[in-house]
Amino acid sequence: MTKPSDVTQLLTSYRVGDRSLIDELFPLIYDELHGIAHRILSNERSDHTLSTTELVHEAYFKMVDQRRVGWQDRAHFFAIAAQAMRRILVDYARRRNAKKRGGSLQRLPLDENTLAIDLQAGLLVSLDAALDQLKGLNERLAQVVDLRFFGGLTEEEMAEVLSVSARTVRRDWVKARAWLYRELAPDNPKSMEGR
Amino acid sequence: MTTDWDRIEALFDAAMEQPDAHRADWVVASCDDPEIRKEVLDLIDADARAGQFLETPAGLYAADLIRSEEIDQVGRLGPYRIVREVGRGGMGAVYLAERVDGQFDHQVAVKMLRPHVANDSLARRFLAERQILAGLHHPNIARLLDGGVSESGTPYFVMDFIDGIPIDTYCDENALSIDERLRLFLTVCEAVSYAHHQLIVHRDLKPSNILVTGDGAVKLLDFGIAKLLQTEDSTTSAVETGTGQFLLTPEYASPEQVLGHPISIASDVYQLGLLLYRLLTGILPHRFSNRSLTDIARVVSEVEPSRPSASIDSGSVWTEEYGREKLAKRIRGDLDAIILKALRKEPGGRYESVDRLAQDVRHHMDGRPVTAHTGSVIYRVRKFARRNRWQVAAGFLFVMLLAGYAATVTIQQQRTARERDRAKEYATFLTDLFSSPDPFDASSPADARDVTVREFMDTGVERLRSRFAGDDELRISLFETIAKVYESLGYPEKARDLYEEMVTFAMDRHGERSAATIEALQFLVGVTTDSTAADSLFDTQLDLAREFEGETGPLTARSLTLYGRWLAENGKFDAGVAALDEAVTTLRRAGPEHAEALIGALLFSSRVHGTLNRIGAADSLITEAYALRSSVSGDDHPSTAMIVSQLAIVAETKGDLEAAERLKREVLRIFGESLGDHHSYTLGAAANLSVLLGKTGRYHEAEEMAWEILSTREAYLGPQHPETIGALQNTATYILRQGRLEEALPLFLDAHARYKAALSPDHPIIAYPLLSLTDLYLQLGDVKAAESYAREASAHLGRVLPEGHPIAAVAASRLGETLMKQSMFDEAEPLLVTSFEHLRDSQGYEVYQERARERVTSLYTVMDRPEDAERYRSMPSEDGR
Repeated sequence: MTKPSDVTQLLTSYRVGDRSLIDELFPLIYDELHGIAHRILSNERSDHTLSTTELVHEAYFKMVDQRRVGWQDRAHFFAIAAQAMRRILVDYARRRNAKKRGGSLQRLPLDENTLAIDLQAGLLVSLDAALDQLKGLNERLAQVVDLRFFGGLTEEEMAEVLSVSARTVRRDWVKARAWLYRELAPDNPKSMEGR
Repeated sequence: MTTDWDRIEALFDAAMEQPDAHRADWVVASCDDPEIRKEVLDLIDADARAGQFLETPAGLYAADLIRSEEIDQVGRLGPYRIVREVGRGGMGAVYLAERVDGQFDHQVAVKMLRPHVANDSLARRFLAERQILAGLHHPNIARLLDGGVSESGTPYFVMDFIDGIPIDTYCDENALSIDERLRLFLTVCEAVSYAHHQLIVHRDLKPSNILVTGDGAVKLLDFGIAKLLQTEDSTTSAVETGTGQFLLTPEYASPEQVLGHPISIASDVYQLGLLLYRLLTGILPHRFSNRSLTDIARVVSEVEPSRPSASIDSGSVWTEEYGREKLAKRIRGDLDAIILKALRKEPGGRYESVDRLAQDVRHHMDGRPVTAHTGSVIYRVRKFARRNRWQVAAGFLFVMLLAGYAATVTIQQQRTARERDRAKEYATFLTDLFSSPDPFDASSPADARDVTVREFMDTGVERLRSRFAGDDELRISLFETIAKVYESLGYPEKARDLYEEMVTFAMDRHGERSAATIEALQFLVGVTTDSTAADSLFDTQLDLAREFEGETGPLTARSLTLYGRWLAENGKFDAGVAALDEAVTTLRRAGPEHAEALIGALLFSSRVHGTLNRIGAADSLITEAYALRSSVSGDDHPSTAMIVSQLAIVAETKGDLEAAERLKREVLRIFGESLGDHHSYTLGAAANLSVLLGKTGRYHEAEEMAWEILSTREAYLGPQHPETIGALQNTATYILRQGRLEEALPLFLDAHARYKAALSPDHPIIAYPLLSLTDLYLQLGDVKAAESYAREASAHLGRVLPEGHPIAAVAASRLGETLMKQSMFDEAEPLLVTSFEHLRDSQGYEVYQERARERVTSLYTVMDRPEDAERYRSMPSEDGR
């Protein structure tokens, strides 16, 4: 089990561009988030939706000794956590897609021909690919989507993580969302290519 | 690439700072690189359509996704052991399960509902409804065995496990004949009808809820369950949920479901109609371009389905095997009529029961007459005319443009080769413009057809700018054509922009004193209506023409016509008449090639003479114009109708209302036949006729027409178009005249609000609904409210109109009346007296002048000043005519 001190240690020694530390932190945070998500859902809490904001913050409080980290470290944690969250969801979505294609489901669509959750899974997988593309155009745009959509961060938190103004974050979000929508919208012929 | 993307981002950021409506124009104006511009416009468009895209954080996905694996692992739900998941959808997941305690010897389906609504209320309603649903015993309805709320608070149903496939797939895979399909459909109808007799509406009939088992038995699933999932607030549309997801499949939603109206058995009738449509044609009538809630609501509640026989799926194996032609022939007639009757937008227009629908199907199978045909022709014709308004109108415009093109080509063939090339380019441009996307071709997809002509023209301008960027002469000549189309569509401000560019171009190229500049200026002033800036523009175009051509040339006469019309429109009738008469004199001598200009001058001159009550002059001028016009264009041409319209006004002014009505109906007929029933000119003619009907006391008839005009304009020009709002104001006025005050009230308020939103804040017409509201409240006896509306109207008009303007005086007099009724004589007296004086000074406002006079005299009467009352009573009208 990861102790707060390990993660804190890693976080505080992290420096910009230090890939190896990200590689160490990422799986730790991934596992923690995954565990929390599972616990919340199996604890049969009545609301049944997960708040990624809560997840990420809960992981943070659990994994990091707050007395020993500065705001940059906190920002790094959230940046990595958002990516981990994205990975978790996309992994689930991929498994779901594979299961569907594998034909293990008997033919009995109860509600619709197009099943909502499969749509969600499909969207997540193509969103993941589109985000990688967007990253090639402007990395910050992709980061804003990670932080907000997957990490559930507020504008102020995102501004802190990215070291830009909240206004810039807002504008980046609008751009990124428009670009992604165009890429993924059902009426876009490009989105039918099944990227 | 990187630098391009940076530019795209910067331009997009800046564009988003602009108001929504101006973004595209702004981008076009700010960027000359076509690729970057397209990219930015694309992104702006995507942003506008993105709706709630990505706005719900991923948590929602997380819960569903993780739980789907969770249950696989846990393997148990209440007393049921989950065998495997068999389906999943908007409502929740379905599992094949067995009872742990072995109470049932057969397998069941457990359906876990996704909690869209608060668990408490869902669970409560669920328990209440369960009893009712459990009472459904029918061989074709899957039994509800049990139901409860899981430990984690998720409601679930336990049903017969039906090992079957959806009815549509079943029919296609087994290549059932039409009769076999109809028989299967009748079985479905029987089951639904049985439930209806138990007072249970299904609400969600669609193939995936209607399964056929291996031995061919039909089983309906999920009876009444959709109702449980609806929020208690029944005004919410059933396809809308708190999470922005669709609860019902949009393709199978009924109009009342998308609109949030009450659901009855008629909704099931509608969904059965969709099912039959699908079973016979292979497709469904509605497609959705973007699946936003508004798009779905609009399509489902407004777009009429095309005839099934004309919509047979070309992609399905079954329809190909059967033969599309043969299939169409089989469906045409009875089955078309039956399906379309079930699919009427208004629940009341459909079959009154599922039994009736089934009966018609049975009659068809037996070769007996079906009831569906009754009323269907009228229904279709009416709906078609509504839908195809712009198709008809645009057909006319297209012909106009082609005529222009043909003329250009003929002339240019006599010129150089270079100009022939240009003509070719011109032709290509027109062809492109009209072929991609062609909004008027009924066979193109529904969303393309929805492009308004206005948007379509905007695209044309946009393409012109980019394609002919290097050829000013050609671009400008095409601008003229497009500007005229804008004008005829009722978008003078759009035309104005283009004419302004033409003026600038002509001045640069040919100098101020040139025929090209003067002509462009004439076009410009022709669409100019706002008063302040325009005075100098009208003077300028006339001065330039006089300097260029002298006092008596035809170009000058055209400028004079515009000038005279402008003067008259601004209340300077005498000066206006003088200018118009001079123009008429010049143009009469100018020769037959100026006949068009002469007809215009005669028409306007007749109008102004008419306004001044000089009936004789008005009559002879318009008669001359009519003779010319009909000899040039014939009796049935729309431009002849313009003249006939003035003939009608003259007849009306003469007091010959019968002739006036006949002529107005003639105008309506000509426009209707040549431009289509829903062209703006036709609607204008209808509006004129309705005003006349109102004048002769036929308010009811006038109101009917006004409603029709209103709904058409609303659909095609949009609710905020000034002409639409004008129709609203008229409609409300006729209702007011019929004494239905409560009904008129919200309409006037609506008209006022819309004017305020649509027009510049200085537009005088904003005050018109306020004056109507003053009348209305006076009739209701609420003088205080009347006063406040009159005050607002009067303040507005006093601010935006010149001192002493008759319309401001009308409002001031009305305000004085409300004050007088409250015995506030000190404030009322100056208002009533001054406004009466102003109206005496104005021509063309005799009716209002007399009302103002009555108010002054009654004021002095109640103030017990009989001499003053008498003095005003006997004061002559100023003009002495």
